[in-house]
Amino acid sequence: MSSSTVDSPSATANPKSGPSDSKRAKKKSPRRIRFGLIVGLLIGAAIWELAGRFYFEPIFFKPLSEVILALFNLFTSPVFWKALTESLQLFVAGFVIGTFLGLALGIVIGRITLIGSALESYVTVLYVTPPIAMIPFVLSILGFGYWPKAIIVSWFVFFPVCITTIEGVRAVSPRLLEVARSFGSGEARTWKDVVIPSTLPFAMSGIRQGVALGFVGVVAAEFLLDASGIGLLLRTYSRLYQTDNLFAAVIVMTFLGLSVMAIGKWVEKRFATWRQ
Amino acid sequence: MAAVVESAVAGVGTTATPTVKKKRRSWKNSIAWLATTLVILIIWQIGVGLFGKDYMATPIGVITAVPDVLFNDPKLWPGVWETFAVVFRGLILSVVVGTALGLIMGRVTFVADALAPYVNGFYATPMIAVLPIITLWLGFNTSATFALVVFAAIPPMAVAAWDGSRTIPVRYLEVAKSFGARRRDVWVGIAIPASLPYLLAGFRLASGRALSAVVIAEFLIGTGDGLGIHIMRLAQNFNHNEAIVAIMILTMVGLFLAIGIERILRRRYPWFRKS
Repeated sequence: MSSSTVDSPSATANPKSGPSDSKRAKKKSPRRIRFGLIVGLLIGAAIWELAGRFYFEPIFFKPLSEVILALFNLFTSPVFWKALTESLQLFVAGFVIGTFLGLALGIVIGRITLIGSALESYVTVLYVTPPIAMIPFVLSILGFGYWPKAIIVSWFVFFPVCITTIEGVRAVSPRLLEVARSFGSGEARTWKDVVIPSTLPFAMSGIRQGVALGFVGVVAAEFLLDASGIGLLLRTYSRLYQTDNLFAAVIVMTFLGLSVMAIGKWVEKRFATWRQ
Repeated sequence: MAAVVESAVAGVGTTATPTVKKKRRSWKNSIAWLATTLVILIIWQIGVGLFGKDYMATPIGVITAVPDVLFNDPKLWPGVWETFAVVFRGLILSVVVGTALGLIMGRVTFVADALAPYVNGFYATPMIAVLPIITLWLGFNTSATFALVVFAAIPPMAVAAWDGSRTIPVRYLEVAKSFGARRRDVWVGIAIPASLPYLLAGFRLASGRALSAVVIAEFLIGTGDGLGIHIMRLAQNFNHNEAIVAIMILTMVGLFLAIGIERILRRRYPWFRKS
């Protein structure tokens, strides 16, 4: 009961849970041309260009054409690629640690019910605390360097993974467990063959959220701790009032975020078909 | 859903007196909860004592700091007030604007196509990356914090309302039409109530993001007297116990926004499906 109230951010992720006679049933042909998309993008681009050219001071706002130019310069500069690699490396390190710990602790909490109920309440409490609030502590205890940042990123990733894993372990069919037990399967075998395979699809929706949050964590860590990567780039551009470069870097972040989300969704979908 | 059914099926044959057993189990659970909590706290206390530095927070330190922070810290309550005033104003604006946007997107495909890249793009952009632009426009002050909260909270509300209004059962709309419902009645009577569960899930995401946004903004803007900057200053001056007490206030508001509001609404509108 208390656990299910925490999980349902994923409710937005699977709107198919609605009744079967939903409006989606009469979907139009998949290849319809999205005039709205084109019109929307064109209007947005026009407003951006005109506002930048005629309305705003150039130090506050740059027209689209100049931002695109800055974007090209960014893509050809080695500084940008170095920053991007740094950020991605940090992301991968934090993501791997956070996911691993989240899965491990989630399985333990979900399976060992006696300890689980206590640990779960603490996980829930920490989950609703903004992870950014941990940064000053990490800063004053561990100082600057690479690992404090990786710890922050894994903190961002850990909680959604852990909480959905708990849900997943709880949802393992008791019938399967009973069959495993009555055929004399030991606890280790049961985990390997029953608990983990049927938990993984659930955990995937947590991992999807973890991917998105970990990306936020990278930027937060790079901004507030030892400045590096894309975070340093953003900071530099904003302090030097290079507005065109700043906008270009934010656009890069937007597309990185979108692709990170798309990858997460794809992975989740793949495992969701496994769920049935 | 399936899990509920299965556990109900599993429970049928197991016990003749379910109420007694349940009571005993919950009693055992609370003992286990207490024991685990104690173990965690003892490990924390001893661990910091053996390996940590003396400014690091310990359970005893936090508990002794509670009355000190709550009653003797002149900066705490004004900070709490300042920060949560921004959060609530931002959330109210985001709920209104985001829901309106999402409902229109759900009902008019053309608008949805036109706005989708912006909503998704804003949703995917880490809010910290946008903060430099916001401070460039608005300066280092509370209005920048407010703007970041709104930036963070509108996209999840819009996406949730969009999802919700797309899944309105066609039957409801047909019934409404055949009884000659006006457009306004369809919106107020069907579209909004039918998407309420989605709006609730969206609100939970939005409130979490709004809390994060306010803390990020206060950390990076670095001026003002909000709760976030208060936490930052306490932690940087090595008053970790006091900082944790201040964070607990943040956590409680987070819990209320995430779970409390949903509980209240569920009691008020019992027809909500469990997701």
